[in-house]
Amino acid sequence: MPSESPNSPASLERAALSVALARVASQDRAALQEVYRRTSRKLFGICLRIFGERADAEDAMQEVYLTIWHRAGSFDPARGNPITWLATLTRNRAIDILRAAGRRPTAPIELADNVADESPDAEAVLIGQGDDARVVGCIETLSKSDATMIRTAFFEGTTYADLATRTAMPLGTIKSRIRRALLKLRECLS
Amino acid sequence: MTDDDDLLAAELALGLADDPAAAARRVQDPAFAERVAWWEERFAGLAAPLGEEPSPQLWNRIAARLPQNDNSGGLLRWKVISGGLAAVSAIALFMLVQRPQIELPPQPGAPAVASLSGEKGSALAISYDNSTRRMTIAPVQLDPGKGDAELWVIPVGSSRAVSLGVIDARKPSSHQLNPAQARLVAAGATFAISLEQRGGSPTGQHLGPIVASGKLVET
Repeated sequence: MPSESPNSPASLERAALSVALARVASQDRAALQEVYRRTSRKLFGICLRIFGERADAEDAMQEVYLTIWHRAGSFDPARGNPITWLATLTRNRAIDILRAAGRRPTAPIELADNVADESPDAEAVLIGQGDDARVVGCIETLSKSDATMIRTAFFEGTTYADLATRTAMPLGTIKSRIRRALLKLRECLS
Repeated sequence: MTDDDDLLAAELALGLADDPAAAARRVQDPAFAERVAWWEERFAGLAAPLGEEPSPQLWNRIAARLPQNDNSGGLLRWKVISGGLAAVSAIALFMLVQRPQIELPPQPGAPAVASLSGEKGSALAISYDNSTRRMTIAPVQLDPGKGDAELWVIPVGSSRAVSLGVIDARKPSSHQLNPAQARLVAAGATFAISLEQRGGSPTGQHLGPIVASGKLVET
């Protein structure tokens, strides 16, 4: 991982969030509002992708921030990046809500083609941007179908079995395709 | 870590494999847990903002669902216990007047933040809210050994470090600065952590090594 100078914007953002979460853990409402101010756009992006509808995504956001309120104490700044912790919590909470509502997505996944997408856009994304953009750029280097499946797994919480059903492909094929794609992704990310 | 192990970590991070054994391994095997965290961090990057913002009322809806401040629950107890005792009622009345606003200010002052680090891997974060003079310190990695970690501030335009006291090296802590200290702590000031004997340096100057430092920046 590239080492960051302590005063880079990303590192300061992380520091600010770590401190705000520590204050949330001591039931400080203003601190939760600060966490909200710093993260609501990003976390709303996750909810919106998972639910598709603004109203549902906003309902999920309420649950997400209440969960943050209750669980902030379990975030350990020594062991992780607060943004990752919040994004993972949001994704898991949103997927739980979706499932509890019996709305597990079952729509067929259209797998377009098998050709790697070497568009210059992906290259442009890779150059000169932060870690966030990097995975977005790297996923573009996979075949469109593989990229779709990995995105679907992340945003909809689908298991291998779900993916097999929704793509109408054998489980074994799905598994080996995704595993190959993950190795390729790792090479690009490392 | 073999490729198979690493793939299992990635599958767990994505939730692809409904595998209790892998989940258990995450708890027991630190090297594996680190890989799951690595993948989680990468995948979290997929969640780049879509450019759409939640509606402006959303925060108020969340705030309305937070548990009431403990102070108001305490107040209720005060009123019950105080009964007819005039003196106690007066205190309760005073507390009622002092009762914290449930409504949050629409835009809280963004605190200034410092991210401190040093060559040996020590790291901590400090935030400071000028309007309340409240400083919060979150140690990320800080090992004071058998002694204590002491926090110093070097004000803007000065080369002299002033002690802000010994800090808790293990967990986040909050400190209320007095007005004299608050005058030293402003954007551009530098914080430093030194390792001192138990109870801190007795001389008013740091004696032990500086293990982390960083500048306070407005956010």
